[in-house]
Amino acid sequence: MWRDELYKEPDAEKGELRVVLGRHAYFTQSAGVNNYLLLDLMNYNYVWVNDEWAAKRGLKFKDDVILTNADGKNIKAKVFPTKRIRKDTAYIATGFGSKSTLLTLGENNGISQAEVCDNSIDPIIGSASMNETIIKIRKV
Amino acid sequence: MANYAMALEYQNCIDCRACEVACKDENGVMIGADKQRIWVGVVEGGKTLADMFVNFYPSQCNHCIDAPCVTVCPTGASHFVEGGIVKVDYDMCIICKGCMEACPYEARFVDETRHAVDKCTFCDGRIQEYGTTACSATCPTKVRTFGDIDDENSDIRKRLEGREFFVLKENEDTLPKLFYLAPEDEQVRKRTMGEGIKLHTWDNFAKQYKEATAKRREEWKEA
Repeated sequence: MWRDELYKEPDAEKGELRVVLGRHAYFTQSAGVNNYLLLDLMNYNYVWVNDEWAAKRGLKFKDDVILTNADGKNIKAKVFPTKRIRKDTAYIATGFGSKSTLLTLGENNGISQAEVCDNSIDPIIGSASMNETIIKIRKV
Repeated sequence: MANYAMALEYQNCIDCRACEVACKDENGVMIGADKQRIWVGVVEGGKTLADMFVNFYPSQCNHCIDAPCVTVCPTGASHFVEGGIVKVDYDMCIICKGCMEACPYEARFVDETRHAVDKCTFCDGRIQEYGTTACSATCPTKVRTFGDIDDENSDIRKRLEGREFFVLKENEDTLPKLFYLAPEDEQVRKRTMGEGIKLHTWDNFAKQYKEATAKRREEWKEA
């Protein structure tokens, strides 16, 4: 059942953002990690952040940042400031950053959504709750 | 003899670029080139979240009836084949890039694996077998309708006769054969079409295309 304490609000002023992990029109599923035709369209997934929010912190396109999630994991990434997204939200596309060494094109290429995601589980259907993660973004 | 063309319901485009992937796979286009045979133009606008929009304009070679790239070619590598398709003979091309300058739509690029200038061929060879191009067959939202504009019963004629449409860079007098169907919704029309674009209907448009095609038809080589 819904309780108000389940909801955590990100503090955008302190650099906290809610991460929305979503599909992309080019990469509709994570099985396309090693597909050379798809990688030719888009070979890296940037973290989308609001452009006004990024300008305040001096972040430009392709700047290196470190994402820290609630578990304390640090993940390297690059930012893409855009006006397509709200100020308290960041977006990461699926289908990149595989950890399998046999995927020669897809290995460690981009941000792995499974690494960014928190360990919380959806109480209704038992899947990983993809959109609950709150991260901090720090410029390198 | 057929006269191939394409009608684009561009308001349905979702920028998935499945057309581009299908084109590369079907025709063996160079991977990693700075341009491709077909592409999706993206225009972003608006200032706040409430009024912002993104427009997608799928495009490729227009296979113009009076193609400037064919007249400018010094070696005769660029030529017309049956169906009014503009093609490049890769063996005769010397990469002088005159055609790339002449093309108003920037549809040509240098393919380094073929050592020649490459462009869209309307999947010449595939259309004889399957009747449609790879890009129109794969499109999930059915943006592209490929067909013969001389045939009254073809899908493209049925689509064009009921709708208003426009062509790109009409004042260049190249008579292009990519027809962009104007959206029926007034707001979408205002958002996606620039000011001063001339809308046509098939009835007032067909005559000049037929006359120009008849003049050029003797230049068409056998495929």
